This record gives sequence, C-alpha cells and structure tokens, in this order.
Amino acid sequence: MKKVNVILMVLVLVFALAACEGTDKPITVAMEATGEIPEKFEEQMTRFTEETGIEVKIQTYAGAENYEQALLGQIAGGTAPDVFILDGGHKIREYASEGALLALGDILEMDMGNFEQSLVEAFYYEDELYGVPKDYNTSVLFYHADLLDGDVPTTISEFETAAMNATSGTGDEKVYGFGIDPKINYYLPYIFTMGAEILGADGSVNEAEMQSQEHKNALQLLKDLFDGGYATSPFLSGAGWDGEIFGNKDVALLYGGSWITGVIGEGFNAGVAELPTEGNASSMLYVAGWVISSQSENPEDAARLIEFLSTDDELVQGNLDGLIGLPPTMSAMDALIEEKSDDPYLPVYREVVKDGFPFGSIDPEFVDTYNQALESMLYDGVSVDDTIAAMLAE
Amino acid sequence: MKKIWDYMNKFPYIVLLAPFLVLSMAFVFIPIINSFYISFFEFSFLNPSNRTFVMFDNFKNLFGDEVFITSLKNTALVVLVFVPAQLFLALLVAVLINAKIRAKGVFRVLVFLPYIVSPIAVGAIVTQLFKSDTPLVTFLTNFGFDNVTWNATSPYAFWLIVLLVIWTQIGFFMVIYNSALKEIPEDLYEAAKLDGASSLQEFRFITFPMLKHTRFLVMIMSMIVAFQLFELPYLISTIGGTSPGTPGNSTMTIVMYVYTNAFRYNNMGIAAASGVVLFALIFTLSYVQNKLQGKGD
Amino acid sequence: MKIIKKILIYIVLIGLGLLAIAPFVWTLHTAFILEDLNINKGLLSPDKYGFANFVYIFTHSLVFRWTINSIVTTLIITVANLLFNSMAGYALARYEFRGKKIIFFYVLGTMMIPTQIIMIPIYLQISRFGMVDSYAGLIVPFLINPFGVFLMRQFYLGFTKEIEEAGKMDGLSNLGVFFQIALPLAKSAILTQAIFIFVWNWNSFTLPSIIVQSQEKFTLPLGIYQITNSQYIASVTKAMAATLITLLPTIVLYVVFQKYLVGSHVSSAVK
Repeated sequence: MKKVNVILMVLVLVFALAACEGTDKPITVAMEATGEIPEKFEEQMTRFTEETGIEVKIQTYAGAENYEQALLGQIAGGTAPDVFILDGGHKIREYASEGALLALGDILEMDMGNFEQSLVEAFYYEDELYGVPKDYNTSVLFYHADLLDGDVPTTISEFETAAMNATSGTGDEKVYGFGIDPKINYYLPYIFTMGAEILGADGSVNEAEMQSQEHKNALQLLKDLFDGGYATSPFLSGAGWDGEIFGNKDVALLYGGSWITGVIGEGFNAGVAELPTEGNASSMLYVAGWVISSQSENPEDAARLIEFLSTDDELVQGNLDGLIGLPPTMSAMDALIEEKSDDPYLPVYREVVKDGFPFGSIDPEFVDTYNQALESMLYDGVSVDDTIAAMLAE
Repeated sequence: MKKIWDYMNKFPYIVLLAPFLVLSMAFVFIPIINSFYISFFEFSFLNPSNRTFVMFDNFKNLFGDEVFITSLKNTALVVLVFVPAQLFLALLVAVLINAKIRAKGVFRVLVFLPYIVSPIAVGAIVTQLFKSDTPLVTFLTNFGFDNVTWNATSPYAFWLIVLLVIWTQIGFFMVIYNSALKEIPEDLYEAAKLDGASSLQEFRFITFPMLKHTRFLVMIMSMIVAFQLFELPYLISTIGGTSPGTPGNSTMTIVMYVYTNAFRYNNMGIAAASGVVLFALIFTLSYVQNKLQGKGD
Repeated sequence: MKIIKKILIYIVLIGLGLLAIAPFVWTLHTAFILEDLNINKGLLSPDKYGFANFVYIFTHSLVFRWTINSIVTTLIITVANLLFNSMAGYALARYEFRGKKIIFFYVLGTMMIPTQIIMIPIYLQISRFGMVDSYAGLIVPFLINPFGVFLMRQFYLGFTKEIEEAGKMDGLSNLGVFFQIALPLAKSAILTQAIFIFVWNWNSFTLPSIIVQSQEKFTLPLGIYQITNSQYIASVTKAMAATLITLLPTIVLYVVFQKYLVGSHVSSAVK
C-alpha cells in the first residue's frame, strides 16, 4: 500500500513539474553590443518584461566578428539563442538554407505591410519570411553648401560639373569637389542609376550588364574625377573613414552612409540630398533584422519579443537611445520625424529607402573582388576594361 | 598512501605529464582532430549533421585558388626573413644589453615594449609615418625607394609588414636569449679572459655553443610565429575598411586566408583544409630541423 | 671594455630604444586628445587635450569589475601554467620512456595550429563541459601551454645532472628531486615563462570574446573593446586611452621582474 502511494506521489510530482516546464523559462537574445547599447537594451528588455511577463536573458558580444563566431558555435552545439540579429540578404539566405532559422509567417501577429518593402525583401528565402527588419541605414549625398558653387546637383551631369567647379586650392588647403570611399558599398547606387543593372535582387552577378557600356561609363566617371584631381578618398587623404574628410571640410560633396551625419557639427552649413539620378533613383541599404532560431523552445515568446521591438514607441525610443539606426516601419518613421521635427535629414532618408538595394544581398567574396579591382583602378591606374575583367575573374 | 607515492615515483614522468596531457587533450587535441575532420567535408557549423563528404575536393580547390597560392608564397617569404632575423638579431641585442653597460634594465624594457603595445597602435602610427611626402619617406627616396604611401603600394606594403613583425617580436626572443645567457657560468668567461681571449672569441667559443638548446627553441618558435602571422597584416591591410591583403593580395598570409574563408565567406571546409596544409608545412619543416641539427632528444 | 666599443653599443641600443618607444609615445599622446578628428595632426594647442577619454572609460563601464576579472583569471592561469608546464618539460627532458618522442612532437604540433582554425571546435568543447559564459570557461582551457613546456624542456636539457644525483643520494625520491631541487633552481626559466604566459593571457581576446556573454564576466580587453567601439565608428582616442589602461599592469610586471631574470648559476649551487 505504502509503495503504491509513493509511486503515485512521484508520478503526480513529475506531471506537475512537466506542466510547469516551459512557461517560466526566459528567452535568450543575442546581439553584438558596443558603446552604450548594452545598458539601453537592458532598459528596453525591462520594459518588455513589465508588459508581457516574459523574462529575457541578454547575451552581448564585444564585436561583430566575435558575435558571429559565437553564434556559429552555439548553433553547432545546440545552444542557440532564441532571438538574434542577422544582416539581411546573404546571411539570411545562408542561415535559412541550412535550416538554422524558423520561418516566421505563421507565428508573427503583426502587419508586415507597415514595413518598408525594400527592407523586408532582404529577409525572404524561397518565398518564406525568416526575419523582421530591426532598423536600417542608407546612403545619401552630403554637401557643404558654402563650398559649392551653386545648387546641389540633381542629375549626374550636374553632379560632375559641381564636383569640378568646387575643387579649389592646393596642398593642405585643397578642397576636393567630391569624396567617396571607393567601394561597391557606396558606388553601386551610381552604377544602378546610370543604367547598369550589374546585380540582381538576390545578389547574383549579371555578367552582361557588368560588361555593358553603362557600367563602363559609370566607372569611367569615377576614374576621371579621381585622375583629374577633383575627387579624393579617405585612403588618399590619410583619413580613417569618409566621415573624417567630410568633417574636416576636405570635400564639398560626399556620398556615404547616413551615419556620417554624426560629424556635421555646429555651425556647419551642410545638408544631405538624394543621389543625383540619370534613370532610376537608387540608394544603398544596410539592414539587419531579428530572427528566431529553429532550435528555439519558446518560439511564441520569441515572436512576442520581436513584435514588441517593432512597435512605434520602441522603435522611436530605440533611435533616440542609439539602439538602432533608422526605424524600418513607415508608421515609426513618421512618428520619429514628428518627434525630431528639427532634423532635416530624416525626410530624405524616408524618400531614399524606397529605392534602396540591400548591401547584405551581395556575396562577400564578390564584394572583396569588386572593391579590390576598383581600388586598383583608382590608385594603380588600371584601365576601366581591365578593371571589369578583374571583377569578373573568380 | 605510501603505496601510491611509491607507484608514482616508479613512473614519475606519468605524474609529471598528466596535468598537461589531460588538459591539452580536452581543449586542444580534440578540437584539432575536429578541424582535420572538417577539411574532408563541405561543412557549415549552422548544420553540422548536414555535411557532405568531398574527400580531397577542398584540397584540390585550395591549390587551384590563386589567392591561396599567393598567401603560401607570401608566408614562405616571411618565414625566410623572420627566422634568421630572430635567430641572430635578437641574440645580438641580448648580448649587447648583457655587456658591461649601464641602464640594462631600461634598454630591456624599451626593446620589450613593442611586443606588448597593441598592434592597433603600431598600425596607426606606421601608416601615418609611411605616407607619401612625409619626412621619413622623402628621406628614404635617397636609398632608391619611391615616394609612395608604403602600406598602399606593393611590394612596399609587404616588406613594411615584415619589418614591423620582426621589430615587434624581437623583444620576445631577446627575453628568451637573455635568460639563457644568464645561465652561462661566469667562470667560463673568467677562464677565457685569463687565456687572453677577445670578446669575439668569447662569443664564438663560449656563448654561441652554450646556447645550443635555446637556439633550437628560438628557431622553432620563430618559424611558428612567422607561419602563423595574422594580426598585423590583417589589421594594417584593413585600415580604412579595405579588404584583407590589400594592396591586391600582396599582404595575404595563410592564416589570413583561413580566417577570411572561415568567417567572411563561410567556407569552413576550405578553411580547415588550409589549416591542415599549414600544419603539415610547419611540422615537416620542424622535423627536418630537428634531424639536421641532431638536437631534440 | 674599450671605450669606443662601449660608445658604439650605447648608440645602437639608444637608437633601438627610440624606435621601440615610438608607438608607445604615440599611444600616450593620442589617449589625451579629445577629438578623434585631431589625431594625426601632430602637437596641438593645450585646449585640445584632456582626461575626458579616461573619465569616459571609468564612468561608462564596469572597468573595475573587468580589471578584477582579468587579474584573478590571469593569476590563476599563470600559476597553474608555471607548475604544469614545468612538470611536463622536466619529464620530457630528463626521463627516458617509450613514447617520449611522440609526446614531444605532440607538444610542438599543438603549437602549429593557428587558433583561428580551432576556435569554434574549442568553443564546442567548452560548451560540452558546460563552461560557456562562466569563469571556469575563461580559466580551465588555458591552464597549460605547449610553449611553456617547450621552454622548460630546453632549459632542463642544459641542466647539470650532478645536483640531482646529489639529491638522490640524500634520499630524495624521483618526484622529490623535481619539486625540491629542479623546480626551485629553474627560476630564470620559470620567470621567463611567467612573463609570456601573463602577457598572453592578460591580452587574450579572441577566445574569451566568444566564451563570455555577460558584461560582468568580461575581462579587461573585452570590456575595453566594447566601450570604445560604437556601432559604426571606433573612437581611436578612447581606444588608445583604454590601451594604456590595459598596458600598465604588463609594463609594471615586466619592469619589476626583468631584474630577476638572473641566472641561478646552477654550477655554483653544485659547489
């Protein structure tokens, strides 16, 4: 009799425990977090727990490379975080194709139509959605109004003239008309707008377009500007990055990432504009998103976290706290523009994002090959035709 | 208890080697085997069970990749210059500082400094010093060098890095030589002086031979350091966001190749294969060294 | 010594010294510059310098916690290394047994694989032992070092046997000879080992950066990297201030210990 009781008690306990399991386990979020992000993110997670009662355990890594290496280790070892961040495009395809990500179509309860479509597209793989954009940054034309000889250019030919006219001085005093970090990261919009569709939406390289006259024209334009002494790069100027040459007023025009606005100081008569166009408008997008691991044991809770992070309030707060770049939803961007009504750059970004191409879509190997060839063209005097040949060589 | 102690003393080497071997097996050996294993597969850590056995394909592709061959050449060159440099230069510096001069401590600290200063600092200052039109570069044109930005032009970039690596590592080898130098009994030198030997003879007949075991250590270590060169060329060639190995692939070393393939391009199989090749290279060379010099055992 | 020789030596060494100190001076200078934009512009007017970078580091982070983490982990690792590596090195130098050659080549072999390749497999091992994101994970895998073993082996190869014989005659067991004679007399080699093991582990970044996930467990290099790199731009001035902070203990240690890298003059001990 006693024995039976004991067994029954044990069984009851076991069932009770099994029922409890899973409801109180915290979900883990992993991210690369530098600067003040860890602090601010913790505050954000506290808000989330208050609202939903779901506990969150935060994993932060000191740098981008370490973050990804740790992710690989965790996924391989079966201890992947429930939610983590991945760049849109190539990375998403890679992880999804290996089955490391959970398809989000069924589990998310929010309106994906509110997101900028150019951003969301980077998170599809084989027609399934695998990630939700967390923020974005884009590229724009920066200018110093007081260094320009006239209006801000809106077409490519105006742009070329403006660059040439704005160049003045020599030696230390020299001001270049145009500055750019000559990489596919920043020059691709020029190539697209001048009519060379060298890359497909999924990042595939179109060889015919690579060898087209339009592509050659685009490259020739850049080469002529550099060779003629009208343009410079951070490398040539000994600067650490392109923001530096703009901040030091070494250039009148600069095409770069939207984060450069950080160097526009007090008293600068500067601004941002859309890329001068010849055909279709274009810009570069840097978008990262939240994904759920396919190993996750709490996908529902994870989904709630992502939805929380995509609300207007959290997106706006995130931008103000420095947690994210630009908000990826249209409603949040509107809210942000209202909040920061004295910020003249936000409306430009809102325009430019619609025609953006996600940088993450490009194969990293192609990026390196293209950039190296581009650098050789500008610094080593390689001809445009030879450059294109080098870009296509694998 | 006594019985255990007695047993341990019968095979003291087992006891002495045990802690090292156990820890090493667990955290080094198994991972190495893991890597070697991966090199025969098309593999991703995202889905380890989904690997495809490709046998030697990774190795075939490796040797067909121009970038890898370049990295092999570059690394070989580094080794050829670095090893003799440390074998002799570091020894020279150690001997010089050991001579009867004052402020030995100060010099030792100075020479050791580049070893512990962050490579970021080294990279930053060097790229500034070696830009075109700087006083240093202009001065060097007198020796037939062009007026260019060294870290952006090949082959200047490569040799600049070789120079830097030698210079940052000299402190390490100097310290090793130094502690060995101190072990040489003073009486040997005193006896030599009585016999009327010059400093050069002292060096040739006392110092140099007495350092036999240390020289082997320096030889092997410098070879390993040179073959595994990664941080300085990676940092310097990516200053300003350029791709590793810039300009062109002239500063690409084998480990840089491994790293970019493993983590930029996610080609784990190829990365592991290149690791295997690197290991084979170093190991063979060390074995040959060992045999040639009759040292080791 | 002839005067001329002495002067020559001084010249060479001073030249080397100046060369060597250059990046350190640059680091020192940059750490006090306030604005990143001003870095490579040579000497600036006094108002462009300040302690702001250091203040930022000390107020915006768990610097003290990180320093303690680094000190504790590095000390434990160093002491363990000195013991275990010396034991292994001695065994390889002094005893004859089957498999000795294989083990020696094993030791060398493990040094020939660059960490980058086995990074993730090492992580997997640590994960299997449940040591991810723990102090154990930061310490245990690093308690031994093949370089230390190699160094001690070479040292003990040149070690005179007489003193050990003396010890044996006095009735010491094999292990006793090691712990009471061989180990204490290897001071210079052990100190040399200590310096490198300490420096390597103090500055260690790659592996710890993937082992540790919580801020409070970061070691100094990890924490410093994190606060001086904001999402898009690295602040070089802050990074240099951080470098100085991280560098200090290493320099102090070396300055103090390089005096003691004096040979123990084993031969005189035999007398």
